[in-house]
Amino acid sequence: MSEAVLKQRKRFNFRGSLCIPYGVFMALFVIFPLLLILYYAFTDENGKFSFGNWGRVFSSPENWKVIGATFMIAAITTIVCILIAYPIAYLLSNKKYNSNKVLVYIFLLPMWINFVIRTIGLKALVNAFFKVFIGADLTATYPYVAIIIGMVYDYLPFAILPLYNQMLKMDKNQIEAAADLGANPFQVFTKTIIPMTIPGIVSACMMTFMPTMSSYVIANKMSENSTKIIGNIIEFWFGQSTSPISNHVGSALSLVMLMIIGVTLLIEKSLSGKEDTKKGGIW
Amino acid sequence: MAKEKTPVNEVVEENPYIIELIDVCKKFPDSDSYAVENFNLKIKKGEFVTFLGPSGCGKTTTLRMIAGFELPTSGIINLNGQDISLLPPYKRPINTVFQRYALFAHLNIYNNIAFGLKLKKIPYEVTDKNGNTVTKYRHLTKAEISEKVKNALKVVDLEGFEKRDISTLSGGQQQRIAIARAIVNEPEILLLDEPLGALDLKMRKEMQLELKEMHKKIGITFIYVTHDQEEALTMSDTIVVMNDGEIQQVGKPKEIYDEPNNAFVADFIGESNIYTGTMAKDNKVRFLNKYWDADPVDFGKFPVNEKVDVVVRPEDIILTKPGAGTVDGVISSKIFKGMHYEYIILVGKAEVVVQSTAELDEGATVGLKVDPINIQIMKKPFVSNFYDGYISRNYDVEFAGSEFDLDILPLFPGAKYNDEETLVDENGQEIDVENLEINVEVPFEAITISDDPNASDIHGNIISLIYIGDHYEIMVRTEDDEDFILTTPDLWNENDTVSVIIDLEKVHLSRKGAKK
Repeated sequence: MSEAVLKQRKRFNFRGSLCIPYGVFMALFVIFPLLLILYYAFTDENGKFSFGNWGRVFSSPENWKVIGATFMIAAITTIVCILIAYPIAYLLSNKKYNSNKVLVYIFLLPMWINFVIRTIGLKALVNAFFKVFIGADLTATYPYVAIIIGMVYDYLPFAILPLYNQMLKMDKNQIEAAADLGANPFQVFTKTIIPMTIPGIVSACMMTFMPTMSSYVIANKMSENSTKIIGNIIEFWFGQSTSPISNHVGSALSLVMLMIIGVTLLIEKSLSGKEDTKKGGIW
Repeated sequence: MAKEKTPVNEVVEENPYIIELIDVCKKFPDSDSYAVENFNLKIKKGEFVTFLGPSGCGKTTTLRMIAGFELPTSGIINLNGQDISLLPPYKRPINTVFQRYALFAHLNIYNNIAFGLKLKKIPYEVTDKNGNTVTKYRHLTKAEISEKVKNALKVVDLEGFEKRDISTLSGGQQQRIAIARAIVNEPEILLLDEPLGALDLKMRKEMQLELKEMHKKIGITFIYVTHDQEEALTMSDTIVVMNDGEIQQVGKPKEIYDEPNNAFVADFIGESNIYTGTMAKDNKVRFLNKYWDADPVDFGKFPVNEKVDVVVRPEDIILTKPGAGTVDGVISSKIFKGMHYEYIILVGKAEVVVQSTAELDEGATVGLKVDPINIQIMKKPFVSNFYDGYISRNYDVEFAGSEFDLDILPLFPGAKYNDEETLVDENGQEIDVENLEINVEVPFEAITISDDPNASDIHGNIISLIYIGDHYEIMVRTEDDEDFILTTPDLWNENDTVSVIIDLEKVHLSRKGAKK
């Protein structure tokens, strides 16, 4: 009898079955679209295998310029975000300044507003402010600077959160131990606090780098539509182009962006060391 | 900056004390009471000193002030005669072994131990162009560091572990690495904050002996914090018993054990029978309803009829035939403890714990005898609670955060209430007593406690509990940090929340000073 029960248990694994909805979701919304993109990227308008889309993407010098600019914008935004978010997260994680966590919510508050409206508001503010110094709209004269300002503003909370989480978990004893062993406050920072927060830094980098690579609405708004990033071109091919191969070229471009993000993730992961990924902020 | 030994060291060599704490007080900003109060202690070079006390007694706070992680609210900490109380930790030639090891998880063992060495700068002398000798500072070389790390690993018995990762070590090994990391810097003082707390019993015993051995070998001053009295007795040259932020007694382990200063120390160190006694004539002290011969040394210290605490260690009581001892009792329980039997003997209602190798049956009547020098007589800290009170508008008395309907007439000789219920003096003049400060004395026996929350308006937690022969002495602390000490025959638990009931008949009021 017990054998029969065992058999039945083996056949129906309730816990395992809980994965089914997730699996279906993944298949429908992640794997299937990816396969679709792959199919489009390597076929021509007649559905025949072809590298023509890739030739089209890479033969255009304008595309190269846009890809390069996108990468630079994303990289600079990420670095600036980390530089700003790190001290903020440090203060927030310190009970002395943030005993009731209200400050955390204040820093996240801008996320409650629709980000297009937020960006338009920021644009007006930035232009008003820089008019005093350069006598013209920043968005028109230095579009790249304006885009980076917009990106940093919009994605800063995504950098603060993982860093804040990581810093809450910091072992305060290790900080004291470092001071006890003769490290001055600067050495304590570089030798214990930074190593302890590397998983948070990696998470924060990913959380800002990935969306800045792909989002083009902020770029449009902050540069008065004058500057293109990779998202704009993809949008052009999928949205506006009437060419019969529009979806095919767009797919190839999407894959280019995917690869840039993928390679960056791999580099970041290898930088953060082996076990750190386990402890990472939100990954 | 690396830690540098203060060059003054050599000059004040005649000062035998490496560290002196003078009137050190510490109060945390979010608390009303002192965590450490009036702490005075001098520690000699090379001594093994242990701070011993229950949790929350201020021992770790004191250690952290010596390390520099906390700054004293007031008072001075002298290291070799120089005040270091405000110096940041990294400038003090003192290293700490932390309770939870605090090893750097991102570094391997070698780099953990070398952490302090890599930061250190040592002086060296060079002759410059003009022929003068100039002192310069340099980092240690790789070879020097590697040599020192190797030696430190040898001291803690973990040779060849350099390349291993911290996460591959057991708790005991991590603790050894933490010790190696501290001693490799050759600190003047090594602070150990309950370093063996997380280890199992066998490991702990081993490490105790090893630490003691290590102390002998490297010869630096150890300051050790523990709540384990056995650990303190085993390892230390000097024990500092602390309670409630204050030093209770400082002495050698044997002194502390044999001659405890007060009932708290006696109760905390080892097993004790503690009774309330009364000094009598002719070198005698009365407790357990009998007159006992007392140690003449103690006798001179107390006037006749003074209430005292009497401590007798279980192993100092000699069992005799009934009638042959000072008092007779009935064995109520018997436990075999390996080396001896532990008996609980009832003398009247009082319990006496006795350790003896003789085998006797439960229910048997035995006589009890104690050598006079083994009867420790000590001053009772107090028998009453004292509070600062004041008189409220409607002639009630306020103290300990509550208002009590106490008769204040006796405070004002000749005074009485007139028809309008106003207090007047003999001439009919109104006496302004509002907010007049008075002393309130509440004897221990005036207080009872109840677990019924509606029994009174005063609620508190039991923070300490000492068994004194036939009753317990209990301290209750309210949310406003007011303490009530009381005696009760009933057993309560620490941290119980209780209502405090005060028998107002027994409360004594007196006026402050001679103010008119």
